[in-house]
Amino acid sequence: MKEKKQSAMTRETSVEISNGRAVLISGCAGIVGFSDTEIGVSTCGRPVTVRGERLALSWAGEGRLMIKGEITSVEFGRGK
Amino acid sequence: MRVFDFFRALGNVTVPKESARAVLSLMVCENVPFGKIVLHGDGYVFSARAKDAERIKEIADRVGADITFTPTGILPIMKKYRRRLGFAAGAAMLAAALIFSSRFVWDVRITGNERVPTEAIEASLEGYGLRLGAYKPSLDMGEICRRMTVGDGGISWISINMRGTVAEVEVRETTEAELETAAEPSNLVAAHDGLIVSVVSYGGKSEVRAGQTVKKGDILVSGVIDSEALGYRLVRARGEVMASVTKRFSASVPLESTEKTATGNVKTSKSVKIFSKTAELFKKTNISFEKYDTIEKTERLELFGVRLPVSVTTVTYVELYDSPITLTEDEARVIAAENADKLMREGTAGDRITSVYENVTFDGGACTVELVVECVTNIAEEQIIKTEKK
Repeated sequence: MKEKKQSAMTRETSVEISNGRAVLISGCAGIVGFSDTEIGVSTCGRPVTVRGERLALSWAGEGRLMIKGEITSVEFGRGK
Repeated sequence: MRVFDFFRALGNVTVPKESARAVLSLMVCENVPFGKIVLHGDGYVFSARAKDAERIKEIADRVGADITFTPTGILPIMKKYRRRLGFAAGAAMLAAALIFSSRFVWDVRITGNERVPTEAIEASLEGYGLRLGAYKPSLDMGEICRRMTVGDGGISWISINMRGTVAEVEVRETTEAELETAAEPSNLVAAHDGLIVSVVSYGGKSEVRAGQTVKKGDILVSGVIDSEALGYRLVRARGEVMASVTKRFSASVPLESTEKTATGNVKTSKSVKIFSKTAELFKKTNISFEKYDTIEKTERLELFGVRLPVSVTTVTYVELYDSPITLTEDEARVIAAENADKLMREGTAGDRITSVYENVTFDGGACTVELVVECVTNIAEEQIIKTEKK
C-alpha cells in the first residue's frame, strides 16, 4: 500500500521500446505536451521526448505511461 | 468495448482539447490511471475508473477545465435497475447458472487420430459416460482411458484432460505392427472364378499354382500349416494371387421415366440440442408435401470463440414432383453406356484389363448396356479361421 502511494518523483525512470511500435516510460511525473507526432513526458530524471507518426497515449497508471504508434526516436531532453 | 471492460466499473472522460495536456499531466503525476486517448470533436475522450471520477473532477477544477464523466458498461445498467428486484434476481440466477454449468462437460475435443474416425471415438467415449453435458465429478477418467484401450478399437493409448469445461482427448492409434501381432489366423480364398496367373505368398501355405482354374470360395493360401515336427499350427495367410477373370457390369436406362423436380415450396423446422437434450424451437412442423427431400444442417454455437454445448439443427423440406422424361434410343444408349463405364471403372480399379466387350439390348422399354471385361486381378480375399478362444 505504501508502495502504491509513493510519488512518481521518487521512482527511477526507465524507457522500454517494443518493436518500434510502443514505448513504456516508467517514473512519469507529467505530460509536457502531446500530438500525433511528438509526445513529451516529464520524469523524475531528464524529460523524455518520443517522436513518430500516429502517436497515441495508450494508457497510464502507477507512474507508467504507454505510447503507441510508429516510433522514430526517443530522446532524453526537451522536445523542439 | 471488450467483454471484460463491460463488467468493470469504468467511465468515459471528455476533456476539452486546450486543457487536455494539463489534466492528463496532473493525472500522471498523481497516479490516476487512464486508458487510450482518442480525439473526438473538440475534445479528447479517454476511459478511467469510476472510483477515480471525483479525483479527476477535482484535478480538472484545479486547471479550470470543464470535463464530463459518463459511466459505461454494466455500471449505468445496475444503477438504472437498482430498485428492480427482478433484474437482481435475474443477474443472480445467471451467475448461479454459470457456476452450475461449469460442473458439466461443454465440449469434447479429440486429437491424434488419423485412421480411427473422430465420430467412432466420440461414440465409444459416450458409451463410457464422457459426453456433452456429463457431470464432471461423476466421471472416472482413469477407468474410461483403460476401457478405451481394451478391445480392437484401434487405440493403443489415450489421455483425457479436463481444461475447465472442455475435455481434451489425445489418442495414439494402434500401429500396423501391433495390428499384425494381434491378427487372427486366416485363409486366402478366391473372390472370383478365374485362371491363376501367379501366386505370391507371404504367410501360410500356397494351395494353388499358375495355370490352375479356381472357383469362387476355393482356398488359395491356407492358414493351417501341418508339419511332422511341430504338428499343425494356425497362421495369418497373406499374399497376392493374380488371376484372369471375367467381370460383368451393366446399366439400364428406361426410355420413359420420371425425374424428381423441386416445386419451389420449402418448409423448415429448427431444433436446439443443449448438452444431450433436444428440444423443438417452434411447434412441430406439419409436412403436407406428398414427396419431398430433407436437408439437415447442424451448427454448433460459439460465443466469443468458445464452443458452447448448444447446437441448432435446421431441417429443410423441399417439395418435389415427378416430371416425365422421354428419351430417344440413342440418348438412352449414351446414358446407359456412361453409367456402365462408370461401374466398370469402379469395379476394375487396380486391375489389368485385357479386353472389353459391349452388349446393347433394348427390352421392355429400356436400354441395357452390359460390359464384359476380361482382366487380371488379385482374387485373394482374407477369411478368418474361427477358433475357440481359451
